[in-house]
Amino acid sequence: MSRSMRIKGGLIDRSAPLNFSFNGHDYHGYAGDTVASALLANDVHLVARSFKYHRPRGILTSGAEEPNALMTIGAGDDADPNTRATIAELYDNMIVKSQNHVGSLNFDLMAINDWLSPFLSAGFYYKTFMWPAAFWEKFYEPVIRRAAGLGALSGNEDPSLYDKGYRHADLLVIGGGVSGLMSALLAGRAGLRVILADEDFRFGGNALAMNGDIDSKSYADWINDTLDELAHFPHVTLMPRSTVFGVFDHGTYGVLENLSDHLPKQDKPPYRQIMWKIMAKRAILASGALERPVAFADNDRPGIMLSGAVREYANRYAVATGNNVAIMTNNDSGIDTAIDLLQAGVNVTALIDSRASAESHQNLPKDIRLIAGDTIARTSGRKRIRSVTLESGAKISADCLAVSGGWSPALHLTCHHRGRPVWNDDIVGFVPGGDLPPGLLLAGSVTGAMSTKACLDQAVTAVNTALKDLGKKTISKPKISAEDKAYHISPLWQMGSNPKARKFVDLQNDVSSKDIKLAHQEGYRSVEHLKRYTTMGMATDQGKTSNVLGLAIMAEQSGRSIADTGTTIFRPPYTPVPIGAFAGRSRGKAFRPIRLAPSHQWAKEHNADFVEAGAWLRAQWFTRKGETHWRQSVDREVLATRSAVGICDVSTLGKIDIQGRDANAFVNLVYANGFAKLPVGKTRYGLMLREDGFVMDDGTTARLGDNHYVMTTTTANAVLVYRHLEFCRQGIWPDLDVQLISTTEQYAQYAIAGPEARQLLNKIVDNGVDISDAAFPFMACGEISICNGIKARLFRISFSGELAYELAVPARYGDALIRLLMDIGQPLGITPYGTEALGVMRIEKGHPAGNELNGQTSAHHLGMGRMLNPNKDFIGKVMAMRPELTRDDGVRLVGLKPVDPNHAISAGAHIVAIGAATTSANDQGWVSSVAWSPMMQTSIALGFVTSGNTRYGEVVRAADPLRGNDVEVEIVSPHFFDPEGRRLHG
Amino acid sequence: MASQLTPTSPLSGFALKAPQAECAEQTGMAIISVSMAKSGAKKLASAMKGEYGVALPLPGQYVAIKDGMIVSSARDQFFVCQKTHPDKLLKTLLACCSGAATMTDQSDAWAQIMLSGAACTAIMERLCHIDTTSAAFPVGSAARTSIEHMGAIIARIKPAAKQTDAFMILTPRSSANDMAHALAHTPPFFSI
Repeated sequence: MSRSMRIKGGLIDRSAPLNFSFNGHDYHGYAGDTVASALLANDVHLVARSFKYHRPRGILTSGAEEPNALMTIGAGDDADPNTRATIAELYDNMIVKSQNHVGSLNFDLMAINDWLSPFLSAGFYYKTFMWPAAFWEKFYEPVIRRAAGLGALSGNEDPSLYDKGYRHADLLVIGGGVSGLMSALLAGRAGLRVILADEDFRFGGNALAMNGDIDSKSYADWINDTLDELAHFPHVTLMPRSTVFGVFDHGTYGVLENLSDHLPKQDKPPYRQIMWKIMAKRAILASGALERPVAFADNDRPGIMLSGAVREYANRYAVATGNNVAIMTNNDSGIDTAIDLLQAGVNVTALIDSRASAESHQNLPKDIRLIAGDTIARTSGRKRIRSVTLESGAKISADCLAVSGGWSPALHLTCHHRGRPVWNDDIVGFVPGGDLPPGLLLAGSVTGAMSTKACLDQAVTAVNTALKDLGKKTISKPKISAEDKAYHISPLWQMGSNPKARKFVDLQNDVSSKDIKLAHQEGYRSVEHLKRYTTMGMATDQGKTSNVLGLAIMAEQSGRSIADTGTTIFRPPYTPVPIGAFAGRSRGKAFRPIRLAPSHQWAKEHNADFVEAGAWLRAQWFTRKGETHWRQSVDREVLATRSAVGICDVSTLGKIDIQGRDANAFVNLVYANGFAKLPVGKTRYGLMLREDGFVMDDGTTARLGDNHYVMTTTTANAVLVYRHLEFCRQGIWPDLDVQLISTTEQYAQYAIAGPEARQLLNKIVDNGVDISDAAFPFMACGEISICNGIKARLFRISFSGELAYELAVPARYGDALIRLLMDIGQPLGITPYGTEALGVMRIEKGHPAGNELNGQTSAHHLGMGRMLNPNKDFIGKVMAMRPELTRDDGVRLVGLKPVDPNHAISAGAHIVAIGAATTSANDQGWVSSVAWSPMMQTSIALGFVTSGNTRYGEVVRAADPLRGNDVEVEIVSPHFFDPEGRRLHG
Repeated sequence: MASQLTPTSPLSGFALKAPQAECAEQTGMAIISVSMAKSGAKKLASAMKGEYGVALPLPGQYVAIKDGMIVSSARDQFFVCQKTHPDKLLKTLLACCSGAATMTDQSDAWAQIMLSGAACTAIMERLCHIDTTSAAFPVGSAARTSIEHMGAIIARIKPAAKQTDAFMILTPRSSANDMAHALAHTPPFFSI
């Protein structure tokens, strides 16, 4: 049964008792507790095992910097490992478990590592597990990972949901301590749009841990009054439980807001966390300072805590962290802790100050036993400290030792744009340098200010700077009365003279002063190298308590000053952010938007198998009853289209409306072939080049009027081409009178192909619309009406090589049109076909598509060199004439068919001569597209072969060593089927 | 002769209701893009003033017209949106603006969603990266932006009676389902 360590006072809600379990044992706490404060209130100090040596560990801090007390909260898939008990809010029936032990927390079998510690120094893995090399991945690493580590994920998908959001502010205040609150208050009063964010669930920062007054109000009252006023400003947003974890470009701040971790399951809102991107014109960083420990023998025993934390547990959480608390300090804040503990009724067995004398010693109450000018030699107690032995030999009884080695400003965010901190001898710590992220201002102890008055004065200055920057009227400095004591500190990094003692510097990574010394001996002189060799400052706490201490010890080793030694650079995130929060809603089917074609619903109802084409889902084939293989479906669709009529949704192709007095000149300039003389009512195939002369895209462009064109692009390049055209219009030829707009979404467009295509269309075109071959020949286009007056566009173009049309109607009619065509086309044998059949038919016809237009082929490569019109200007003209792109012995698009029709050609295979080795030196080209041709009854392919257009009839090999397929193929014309093009003129 | 084709709306009548917000697909709005011709600014402004009695909206704004609005949709481009048949609106615009601008039917390219209620801004800040608070984006504002990686045109419109706030969202037809999904997964519409 645990003892209650509750004392009077505090900011907990005693009217709201809560139950929770830790490692299966039931405990009690109150609303307003953290897991750490509730455990300490139950006198539980042993809460963790250390990372490497599995040493017993307790709670060191009271905040986000906690290195030891990492817990797994919850159970099953909901279990959240590595949660810092010091910031985890307690809720009713919370399940808390310790981590990283084999057996119980009390008796961890892996504690044997502690006995083996002489062999497990820094760099141990690198030096030891070198042979045999193959063992590293299979044996050494798994064993090491099992032995050393943090908590484990469930292995299942994270059941929590995460969201993202965007907020904007004139001023973002980071940190809700007194500096941040004052900043928000003054800025709010001045009318700025303010967001105040703090990682804690309660605003107040370090003032919650202290006793003091501002303007004759206690800290607690001043905080409450300030929050009340802020809550009444509609232009001020308060964001508790929100960590500003990164400073990004242009005043963008990453903020993780916790919505549900503090609530029992039944009360949780849908989203666990929100990843906010806050765009702020100015920001004030008021993140305060973090206390740091001192290295001494066995300074990691449970019960050894930071002095400020002991003070916070007493003042904020009403918890005595021990019955006999000893305090070790080198600065004035340790003295404040002693005074507060005394006031709270906690027994202070000794205040040990490494300074022989200090001004602050003068005012100490007589009840406190001051031992000045002494330091700690060692401590006793494996699972809870029992006593402290000083260098002078004095032994002090203590079940809690509060240590203060000074304060390090929480300046991490100031480094996110590569700002370098600078050393400040007055506070013996790094403070932000001058190169802050643009728009970031500072206030409070993050600057090194150590009195409340100084912090508040800085808030006024920072707000006035922001107001001035934003062109607003500045405020006059208010009169502020608050504690304004001078702060004194004397550097103290290590204590104790025993050279064999292990003095921990980084408790999270089990890095001791000996490891730092060893790293130095082995030549690691840069702080960045020290970090990586020893692992100091890694993992979840990122060295918040260890960084400065480690640097100081490194400086001692090298004989350099700490300023000269420098510090590692801090990068985002400030504290851990779940990967799920970065992903937000973008998971599963919501990973990215999906574009659905107008016939999608109909296709779904008819067993379409869909394929992603860019963001689109397109039907690739329609499986019919009895078909067990996709090839059966595709072959059937091809044969039906070529023998009767097929229909395919081609709405996904890009469509660009081009209008204006200079539309004709514009189209003629963006295509390599001539369009100047294209008559109204006609369509032409166009080849578009990039500036570098390579082919960018192809498609047909129809002239609907004197100054009106509709360009089609490939599905994949629709956006790219539109962007290119806008660049040409706005950047290259700004004087042309041309207007562009995409109409891809506006129209549902169907390809209707096959000998019966005209007959089918005749069933729906309105009276007076003549689509006979004479009136509407190959490549004709026009605006018609169908189905009693519905406006449509008809293009007589063919990708399949059949008599074919593309019919476009406003998208609202897309679903109805496919249903109608399929219905009335039944007597004609109509068959829907997907992208696979489309591909087969275009390969049979030798039409290039994405595989051939891959950005690395020229018009000459494609056999379209003659399309480059020498009598006009066009994009890419000069570069397209480069010798390398036009040489006669360059690659040319050809057809390939296997000598043995039973052999299939592999896409991606390389062309090599018969008998030649399959090497790069012998490479003569590649296979770009392959298909089984139901018309030719063999595998066929398109590919690029050196001088291919002069080698028809030659047999070469299509070698695919990756898949072990090596086929003899004959080089043929790419026009496999109906090379004369009789069918499309039918 | 085949029967008349039945139109379908992009979202098949999608609608959501929550205590502080509602959203619903709107249909029947014709949208015609009006792209200004070179040197056509004055003539277009005059034509629109004559036809609708309003000045063309500045970038980032829309102006209300009878049964609709004119939205600044891009540089030298406006979307005229009006509750009428697209052919009728196109005809009207061709009659008044030809020579000063070119017109293209966009009525079927966009799904239109009306979002209304006190939670509008809270919903928008979870979806859209631009500042949609009433201070920065008051009634009369319009923006071409993106929501959940989808292009969108948004406008804060004058709320109907009994409503406190309202947005019109235009989103491409083909991905409109994902826009509806995004809205449906935003509090207060979303609950588990």
